[in-house]
This record gives sequence, C-alpha cells and structure tokens, in this order.
Amino acid sequence: MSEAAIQERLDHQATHRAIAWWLWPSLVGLIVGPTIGALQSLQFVYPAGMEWLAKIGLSYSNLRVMHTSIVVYGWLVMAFVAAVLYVVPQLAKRPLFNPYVALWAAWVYLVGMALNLVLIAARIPGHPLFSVQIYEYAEAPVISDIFVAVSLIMVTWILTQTVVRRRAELVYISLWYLLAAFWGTLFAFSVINFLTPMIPGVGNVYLQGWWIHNAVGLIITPLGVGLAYYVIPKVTGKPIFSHRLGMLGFWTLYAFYPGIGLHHFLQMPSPVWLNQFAVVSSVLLVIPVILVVYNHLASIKKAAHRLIDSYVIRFMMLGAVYYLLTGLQGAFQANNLVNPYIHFTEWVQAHAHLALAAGFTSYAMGGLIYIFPRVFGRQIASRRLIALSFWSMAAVFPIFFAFFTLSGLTAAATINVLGMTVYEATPAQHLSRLFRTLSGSVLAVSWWTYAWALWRARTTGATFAEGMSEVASERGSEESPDRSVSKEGTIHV
Amino acid sequence: MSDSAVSITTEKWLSLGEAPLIFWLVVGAVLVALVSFAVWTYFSGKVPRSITPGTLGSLVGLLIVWTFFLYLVPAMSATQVAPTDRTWSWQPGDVLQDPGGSALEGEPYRGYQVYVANSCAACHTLYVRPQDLGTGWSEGTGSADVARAEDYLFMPEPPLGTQRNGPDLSFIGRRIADMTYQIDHLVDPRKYKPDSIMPSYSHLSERDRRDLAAFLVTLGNSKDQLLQGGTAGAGALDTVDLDPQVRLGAELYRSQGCVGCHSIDGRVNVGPTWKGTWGTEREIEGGGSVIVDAEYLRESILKPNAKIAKGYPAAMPPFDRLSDEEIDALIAYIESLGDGE
Repeated sequence: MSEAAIQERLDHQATHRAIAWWLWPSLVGLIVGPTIGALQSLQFVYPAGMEWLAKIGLSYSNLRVMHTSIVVYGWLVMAFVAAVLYVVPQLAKRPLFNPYVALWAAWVYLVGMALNLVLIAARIPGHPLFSVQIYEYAEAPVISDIFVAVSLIMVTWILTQTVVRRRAELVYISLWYLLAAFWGTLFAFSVINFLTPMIPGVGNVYLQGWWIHNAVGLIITPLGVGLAYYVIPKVTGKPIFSHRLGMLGFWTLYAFYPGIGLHHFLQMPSPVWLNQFAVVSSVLLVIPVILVVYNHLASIKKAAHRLIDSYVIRFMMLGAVYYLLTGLQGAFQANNLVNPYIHFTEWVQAHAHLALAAGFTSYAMGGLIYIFPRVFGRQIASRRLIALSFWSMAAVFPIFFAFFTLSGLTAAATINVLGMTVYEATPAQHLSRLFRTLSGSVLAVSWWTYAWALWRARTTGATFAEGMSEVASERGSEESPDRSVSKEGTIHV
Repeated sequence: MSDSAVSITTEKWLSLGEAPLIFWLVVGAVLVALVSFAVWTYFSGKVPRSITPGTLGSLVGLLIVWTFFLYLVPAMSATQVAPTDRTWSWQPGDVLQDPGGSALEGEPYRGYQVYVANSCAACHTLYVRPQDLGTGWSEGTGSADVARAEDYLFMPEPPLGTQRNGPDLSFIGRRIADMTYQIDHLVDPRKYKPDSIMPSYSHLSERDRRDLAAFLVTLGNSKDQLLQGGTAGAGALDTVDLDPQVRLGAELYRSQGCVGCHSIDGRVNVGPTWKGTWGTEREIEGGGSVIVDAEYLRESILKPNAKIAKGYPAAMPPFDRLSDEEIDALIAYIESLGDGE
C-alpha cells in the first residue's frame, strides 16, 4: 500500500469520526430542543402551574431562547454539517481536505453551544461578552459566538479547499448551494454578532431585521436544498429533472432572499422604500421556492416507486412540500395587505415552525438516514421507528400547525377587529393553545424515536453495502435489496 | 378608541422618493441580469453545468453584500437624528426614585439591560405602530405615541420585539408609574390579573427586580419630570392631602395593586378611572345603573363581579383580605379624587 493510499484511508476514518461528532450532538439537539418547546408551551395553557420554573431560575423567556438556540444551532446546523462533511467529498471525488480540522471544529462548536446555554441561564445583564443579546436567533452571548464563528471558519475552510482541489471535473449544483451556504453563514453571523452591536438606536434594529431572516435564508435554506439536490438523484438513480430550473432557482434565491428581513419590523420608524424593498423581495421569493420544489418533485417522476420503499426519498419529498407551503405562506404573510393584520400574532411563529420544524427538519432527517449507513456501515435496523417519525411529521405536524395558526388568528381577530386587549384575548386562545401543546408533544416524542432509531442502529444494524436500502425491512435487511440504484452510484450531472 | 391611523411619512427621510439613486440602479441591474440570464439559457440552449468556486463566491458575495449595504446606509443615518423631549435618555448610573411614593429606587439603564438579558422581547414589543391606534394593541396610547426614530437614540440595542404574547410596553410607565406594583407584578403576575399567562420572575435578584421596575416606570414618561419626583401619572396626588385616612387609602392603592388597573388621572385602563368618579351615575353591564357611593364601592371591592361597569371586563379579583378600616380608607381616597364636577 502506497503512502498516499494509507494517508487517504486515515483521512477517511478521521472524516467519519468528525461526522460522528457533528451527528450525535445534533440528535441530542433534536431531542432536547423540541422537548423544551413543548414544556414552555404549557406557560400559555397553565401559567399558574409553571411557576416552579422561576424557582429553578428559568422562566418562559429564558427557555424560549434555549429552544430556538438548540433547534437552530444544535439540531439543524449540526445535522446539516454532518451530512455535508459526507456529501462534499463525494461530489469532489476526493477525501475531505484535512478532516482533523472538522473534528476540532465540532469540539469548538460544542464548547460554544455549552457556553451559550449556561449563559442564557445565568442572565447576566449588560456585559459585553457574557450577556444574552437581543438579536432573535443570535441571542447567544458574544463569547459563545466567537467559538461558533471559529468553528464555522474551520469547516468553511476545509470544505472550500476540498472543492478547490477536487478531482471531479464539474462543480455540481448541490455544491453551489453548500459552499454558498457556508460563505453566507460566515458573513451574516459575523455581521449580527460583531458589527451590529456597534450601531446604536433604531439603526441597530434595521440590521436585526437584515439578520433575522438571513438566519434561515443564508444558513438553513441553502444547506437543506443543497442536500436534497445531492440525495434525490443518488437515491432515484435518475438525473435531476432540469438543470436550467436549478440554475434559475439558485440565482433567484440569492437575488431575492438576503433583503427580505425587514418585513418582521414593518411600520417601525424605518424608511418606507426599505420596507417596500423587503416586502417586494418577500413576494418574489416564491419564484426560487417554486422552481426548486418543482425540480425536486419532477425528479422522482421516473422513479415514483422510491416514494414507497425509500424513507430518504419520503423525507426529502415531505420536506419539499413543506418548503413550498412555507414559501407561499411567507409571501402571503409579508405583503402590505395581510401583514398589518397578522403581525405580532402566533401565526408568524406557526410559519417559522412550518419552515424549520417541518420543511428543513424533514430534509435533515432524510439526509441523516441517507448518510448514516454510508458512514457507520450499518443499516438502520428499525423500520417501524422510522415509519413512526415519518408519519408523525406527515400527519401530526399539520394538526400542530393548524392549532398554532388558529391561536394566532384568534388574537388577530379579537385584538385588531374587536378591539380587545391582549389580556382580554388570552382566554379566547386557550383551547387552541392547549391542543397545540398536545399535538406538539406527540411531535417531540416522534423525534425521540427517530434519534433512538439511529442510536440503536449504531450497534444493532446489519452491515450495510451500497445497493441496500438505508432502513431495514422488518423481516431482515437481506430481503430488501435496493434494486433501483445504479451500481456505480454516480450522479448524472 | 382614539384617532385613526396617522401617517409616519411626515418625516422627510422616510418617504419612498428618498431612496438613493444607487438603490434603483442596483435593483434594475439585478432584474436585468436575471431576465437576460433566463432569455440566454432559453435561446442558446446552453446551461452552465459548472462554475469555479471563485466565480461562485464573487457572485453570491455581491448579491449578499449589496442588500446588506442597502440596510446599513439607512441604519447609519437613523442614528444621526436629533434627540427630543421624548427620547429615552437614561444613562448608566442614573438613579430613579419611585414616583409612586415608596422608598424604592433603581437604575433604569441597568433595568434595560436586565430586560434584554431575560429576553422580555420574546413576548413584549417596545413600539406603537400607526395601525395599532383604534385596536386592542394600543391600550392607553394616541397618535402622538407612534414610535419615532429619535425615541431609541440612547438604547444601544433597542428591544423592539417581533412578537406580542403580552401587551406593548412602550407606555407602561405612563400607565402605571409605580415601582411597588411593577415589582409585585413581576413576582406574581396573577395576583392582580387572574388570567395573565406571564411567567413569574421571582428568580431575579432583588436588585435586578428593582432596576427592571425602574426601567418599566421610565417608559412613556419624561426623564426630567421623573427626576423631579413626579409624573403626570399615579401617586402624584397623595403628597397633597394630609388626611391620615386618605393617606392610608393612597398607600393601599399602591400596595394592593389597584394601581395596575385603575388610574387616578382619568385615563382608561383595565378598570374605570377613580378620578372624578365619586357620586356619579354609572351604567352597569346587563342594564341599569348605580350611583358610585360608599355602599357600591364596598360591594365592588368585596364582590367585584356583582355589578360590572359597562364596557369593562370582569377581571377584578375579590379583595376580601382587606379589613373594614382599610376598605373605608380606600373609599375615602376615591372620594378625595373628586366628584366629576
């Protein structure tokens, strides 16, 4: 064995270790984040019974920051990085450049996350490094942000180097999304955490607006869509439906997305032209969403049976459908006619859950099922547990979403039309909030089962070989060969 | 409730025509580029299947950075607005004496930092929008209270908020200028508002609670007036009257939390104001009317839901923990606040 080949094998093993260090914490995030969400939602239903939270030093608002921090940075970002560390070397047709950096990056990132959670609970007021910040989705104190930023720089560096030194001839569109996601993340994350604090007064809020939607737009969206662009042709064995649509979808996403954030602060003292720029961009955003989702749905036309037998494709298609609904609803909610009516109500939070808890969580769940057997060499043993989490995402989430929406619409009607105060409107929202908690708890439990299924597969799954299904059938993995995947497993560019 | 929506475009720099030329140029350039790209791929039949990382980075970076500058330029100019009377101008170290009359004091600036550190903005906003007027969002505010850029000049990171699970707080200090009440309410929100869903903040340190209450009291009040020991709001009158019974009533008004729902200067709050209410005729929910006298007030304190004033919610808890002497003092206090003449 040549020296280069030995080195390549070592790098391969290090890559798998790095992926494990991103993947398992992300599953902890998937368990803890939504569970905190379910717990804190009881505040709306039974507030007198939640006073014990104050006794342990955590009230609703402190938990709320933990909830968003954990689901966005603990679950989604970590899960996507785990998947991307596998996907990018495949597309570049070379081992990951310097995989030990990815391993170190995971540890640095986890230190940042731990610091974040500890400092949220500590609630120190007015310290430049240790205080919770006001920026939604970037509440983490600056000291934690430094760790996260360093970690992101490390990951971005090795992924970029892997693509620059690729052995593949072409740079497939999936790589466009994944690389752009990391570059955009670094820029947006640095702007909100290190530059925005220097601008006082209402100008600070404009930049909060710029950031608030780019947390989703520049970080989560391209990661999820880029992953789907890789996984769908791989699993169906057919090329993506249209590259022209893919190109248009990519460039319109980056043309329209970065400017839409101010629609969260419409009618604040800000320039009207900037407000309207945000609103128009928000409506134009349906273009990339429709293009991408059409492209993905059309890609499985010739391999529709994969919708039945592949949970990877099921999750990816479910994600595409939720992503489409999110995009259409976002344009609807942001426009000047609807926004004044629903602004500040829970319908907006319901929309955020549709995007992150349904759309991109589906993408991430499907992506992890795809990479898991290929990284750990084992099939996911329990089809039942995966089926449970899938059907919960498909059937229970809409119920949860409906009650969340109902609560928001109740507030909009009672407060805007009937002129009742928030205090008077609260009893009218009680029932929808109760059912929101119940259905949301079912969702949280289904995510535990998903995490449990992957954790168990680590030791109990059958040995995986390319061509087998990622999720074993109940009768045993040997009986479910995956016939449709081409043996070479190439992507048809 | 109050006057209908006002225009916020009265400030010149807010209007659409003020957008810089570069804004329109870049918008045009982006649209032209997208359309020509679409047309080109359609007619040439060529689809670029690959791109070098350098080109990709430059193009994506350009698109992200230009929208960022579109936000950054007005953000910088918004900080150059001149401060006015309404600007929240508390500095680190400034101390506020409780305008409600108690011996409490707190640092409003540090209170603002406590507000941020506890993510109060998860449920409360700090700005009144033009379309809030006339709806339930705008309790106790009018068209002059619509947020302006200069209001936030001295807040490093204004916690405007994106969600209202609770009321907007930008004028909470004008409605309830009383630190005793604010602290009480933070510790046990359901003591006075039984349906409130607000969490308890009993885990804040005593200093945090005092400072946070001081911050809340400053919201909507002039700094100069507060520093001179008074506001237009609650508590200002009780220094005038020397009758011991009335004084006891005024103290109970604060310590029992009446201040949370009843104003003494005529403003409408959750409950009817106490100013000029003595001896007047009051319409009752469900028909009929009563004269506001000692007998009616005593009944309303002990059994609030027996007769509900028309137009107000049945939100008041019974105060049967008060002694007869204390109830008499409260009635005397209400009597001292005038009889509607």
